[in-house]
Amino acid sequence: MGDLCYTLAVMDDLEFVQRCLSRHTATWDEFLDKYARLIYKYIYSVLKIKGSTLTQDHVEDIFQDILVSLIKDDFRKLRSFKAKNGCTLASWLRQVTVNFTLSYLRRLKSGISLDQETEEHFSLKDSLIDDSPLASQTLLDKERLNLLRDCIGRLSPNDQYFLELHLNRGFRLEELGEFFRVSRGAMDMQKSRIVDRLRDCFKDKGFVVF
Amino acid sequence: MQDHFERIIRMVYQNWKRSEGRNKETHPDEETLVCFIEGRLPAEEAERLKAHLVRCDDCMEAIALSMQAAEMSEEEPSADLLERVRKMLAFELKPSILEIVLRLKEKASEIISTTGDVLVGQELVPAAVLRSRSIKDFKDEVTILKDFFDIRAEIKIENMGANAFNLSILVKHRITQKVLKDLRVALIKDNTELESYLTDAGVVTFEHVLAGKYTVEISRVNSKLACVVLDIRP
Repeated sequence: MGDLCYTLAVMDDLEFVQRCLSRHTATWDEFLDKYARLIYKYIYSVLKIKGSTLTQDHVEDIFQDILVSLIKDDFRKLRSFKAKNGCTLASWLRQVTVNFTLSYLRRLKSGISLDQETEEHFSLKDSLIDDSPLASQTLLDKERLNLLRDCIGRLSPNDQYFLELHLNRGFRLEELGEFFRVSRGAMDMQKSRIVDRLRDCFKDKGFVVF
Repeated sequence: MQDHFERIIRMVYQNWKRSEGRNKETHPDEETLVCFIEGRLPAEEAERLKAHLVRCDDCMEAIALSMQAAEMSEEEPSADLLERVRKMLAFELKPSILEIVLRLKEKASEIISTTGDVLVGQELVPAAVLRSRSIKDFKDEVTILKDFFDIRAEIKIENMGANAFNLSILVKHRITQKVLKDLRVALIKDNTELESYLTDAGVVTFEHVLAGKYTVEISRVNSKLACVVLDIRP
């Protein structure tokens, strides 16, 4: 029953988009009634997460530009909504808003730090014991990293994606469990499996973590 | 100990990411990203997307933000902003009209008025400027252009004599100037559609049309792109 309702909702979305293409202002009034708040809230959410201090004028610019982007070039953007795999119009608009707001911030660039890449002042040399007699004296940190990165390349895309979210983007395991709709225990297991795999691989490369 | 090893893994991971370079693949569209986040992407496609995401910071950031942004903000658009947007959309959605009033003479065509720009040699001249230069008559044919919301229409009227004319309509993209195909162009008189064609090479010609009042509609499936009102006087 739930699936049927969902399918009908998606079909309604497609039919609604078709009506929007007819350029009737009444349909676009309906569009605004349904989705203007959603778009606006997501602009704010993205700006908050990015720690942006853009003025209200900027927010309103982004809001208007998103709506114009849907209709320009003969509705090229809106026409690209196909409800693929049951994607709803609301979810699609959420992602359009996120992407558009990000692009806007990237264009502005100045004064906004988008690269959250952390600088690690942490010596790999201090953390690894190289038990390879030939390499022990000569390898520089960079070379060690280059050797070990092969271990990352051997992981599955699924495990690499986990590392990206958890270690590189800083998502907590509880959050990831919620996103992937699995238990915290399952997340712990996945992490432990990846760590063990990498520990073994590092060891094979001649490095032992103490 | 665990934190210590995690820091090492992070360093190695970041080094690996840098070595992989920037992803040059086509980026996934919004629907694909949404379905991935909502767990509705087929397994094989999801696996491919994960491989893309770890190599593409732009897409990864979009995904991460969508995961975090859900229902965070309480802000609402003001009534004033919504009203402005409604007006803006009403304006943007309205197909504008090109009006052409022209008289067919024995060996020329006289432009009485038009809301488009007239091609004079290689120059596009608005009707007002045309009047100030006292240019009225065009031998054989006259070409009038107008930019609509996202298209440029070129209307060529050729005087065929005996109060008849040939009407050619060329449609291009307003910005790229690329000729647009697969558009429907209809010639309408008194709410009756006389003829219509799908553009093939971006141009449609109606031949030996008698003087009179006509409307030309340029449309794509489900949307009217432009409207040309012709008043061709004998």
